[in-house]
Amino acid sequence: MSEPRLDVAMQRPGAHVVGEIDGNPVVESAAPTENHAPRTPALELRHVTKIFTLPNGKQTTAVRDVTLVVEDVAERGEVVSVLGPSGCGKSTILNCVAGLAPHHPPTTGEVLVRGEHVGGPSASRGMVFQAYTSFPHLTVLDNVAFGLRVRGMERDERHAKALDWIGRVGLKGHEHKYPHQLSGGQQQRVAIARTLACRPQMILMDEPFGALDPATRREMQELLLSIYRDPAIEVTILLVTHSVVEAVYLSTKIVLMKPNPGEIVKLWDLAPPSHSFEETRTQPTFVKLVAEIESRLRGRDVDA
Amino acid sequence: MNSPEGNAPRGFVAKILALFVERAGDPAPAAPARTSALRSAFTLRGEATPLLAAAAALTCVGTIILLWAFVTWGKEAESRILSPVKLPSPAETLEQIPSLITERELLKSTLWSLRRIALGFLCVVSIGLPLGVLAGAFAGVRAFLTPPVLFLRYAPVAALLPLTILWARGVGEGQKVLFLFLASIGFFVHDVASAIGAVEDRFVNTAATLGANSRQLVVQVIFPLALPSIVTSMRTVLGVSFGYIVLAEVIAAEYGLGYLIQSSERRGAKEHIYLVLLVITSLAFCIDRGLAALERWLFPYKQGSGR
Ligand SMILES: Nc1ncnc2c1ncn2[C@@H]1O[C@H](COP(=O)(O)OP(=O)(O)O)[C@@H](O)[C@H]1O
Ligand SMILES: [Mg+2]
Repeated sequence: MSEPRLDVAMQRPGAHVVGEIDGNPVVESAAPTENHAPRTPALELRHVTKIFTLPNGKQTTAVRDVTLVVEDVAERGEVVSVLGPSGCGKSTILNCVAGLAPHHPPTTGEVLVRGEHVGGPSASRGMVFQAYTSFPHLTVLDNVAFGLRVRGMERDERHAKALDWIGRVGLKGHEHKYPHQLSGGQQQRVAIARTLACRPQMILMDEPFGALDPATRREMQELLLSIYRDPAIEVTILLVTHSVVEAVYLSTKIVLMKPNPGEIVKLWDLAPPSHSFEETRTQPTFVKLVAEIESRLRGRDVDA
Repeated sequence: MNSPEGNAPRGFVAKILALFVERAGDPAPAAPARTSALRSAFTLRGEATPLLAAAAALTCVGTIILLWAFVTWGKEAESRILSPVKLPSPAETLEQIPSLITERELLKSTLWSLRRIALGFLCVVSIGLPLGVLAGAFAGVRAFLTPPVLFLRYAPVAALLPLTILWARGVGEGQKVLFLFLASIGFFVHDVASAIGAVEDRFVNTAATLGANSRQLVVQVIFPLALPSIVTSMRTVLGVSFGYIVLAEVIAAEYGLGYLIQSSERRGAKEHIYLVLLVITSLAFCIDRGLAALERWLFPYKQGSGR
């Protein structure tokens, strides 16, 4: 299951090495040769606008005319980070993709995941929130197996699958504990394993590591990397974060937004991270991009 | 206020308690830990050690018994501050324990009262639970149920008694259960609906993005998450049921703790009233503590559960 992705990619017809960085081959796998049509995008937002009517009758535009396409890359997932000051509509976008009211449905515009309209919440689009959401009355095992249980999987089968995921997120030995016996980082691991167990096409994460200490946060970032590098998982992660460094390190795409009304200011497409965090964060291109985004976030050059 | 330090009340109570604790505990000179425990018990929002808390409670009980003995002191009725008709002495009360158990069949009456409480409780839970869950989950059901729930919550309980006698055509067991039911159902439905409504969106949203449908959301997420609060509400219902059943039995019954009180007032030993009151409160207390322990065991994750 966890073979290195390069090996798998190169065995596939159509996969080819497009470059080399510091001796490491960089692989872009093309669509299968028999299918030259572009793959359906993993996610498409078409002119999404959301207007909330407040109890006093006033209206606020949470997001206006947001258009975003996330391509589906074979053999690995994508991490799309959404950055922006509070109130710029990051959660609104995420909830629209998740299909959660009251943000969903958008006032105008369309949300498509793998070409299909989002009609409501579904196990194919898992959500991980900043607030801990492990069900307190269930053990880690039953929490992770929750999505399998509601779809009617037998007890033994779902427990075996859940145990597998618990091991993959590094929680082996904790499966019979209850959430209140876990640390914050462990609880977020439960949330991630629980979402992954449903084999979603997308994982929507709303400031998932915001409540964690820096060291735990780093561990969780590596966990995310291992997930989206895994060709057997192939999931698109939509990540809302306040950490520019985290976004630049993890992402293959960065979306910068501004508030009042929430709109996309700029997009960056990045190569997937190939080096450790310690090496990457000192690279000039990395430092430069972080500085640029941070200065934009501070309000300078936002219209440039 | 009347002391040079200006913190007289605190210092005074602490000194009295210190005397008490030192006599009750070891005679060794007060260790620093004890002094600070005492200080902590009488600082704003401080905490009391279990020993200190027990000592304070015993002090209170002791004071009451002393006062009681004082106002009923003396062989002759004339020499007492309160006549024996109004208040028997502690010794006289103790002497009546055997007759309460044998002649007045205390156990039988206790079991009758408990049986009525249990039946009333079963009715309240079996009808109130589904109604409360539906009211908490669906705004339409909530709006529909609001008038009767409001009515029952604010109707004076004593006024329901004659009505239940009318409706149940007499003062049999049905009337007792009906009364207990009417007295508690409004509160219980309201509490259950609030508990269901208080389940945070993040759990419901998470479960929805894991593929749970509406029924699964209610059964597997919302209800279990609301259950600790619901059980706390059940505890309250049981507690107040003790008060209500005695009220119903005082009005009319053949057995029961309330009946014992009422008949002792008319023709039995007055001491029995006080003893039965003690029995009722002790029973209610023990049941409440038992349920609190059950809560702690069932819901270890619930903060402050079972207090
Ligand atoms: N349920 C809601 N009702 C009314 N206004 C809302 C609601 N949710 C969000 N908004 C508004 O929409 C805007 C964007 O909110 P949100 O998406 O939560 O921003 P972010 O997650 O970037 O902080 C804010 O101005 C906020 O006040
Ligand atoms: Mg937000």
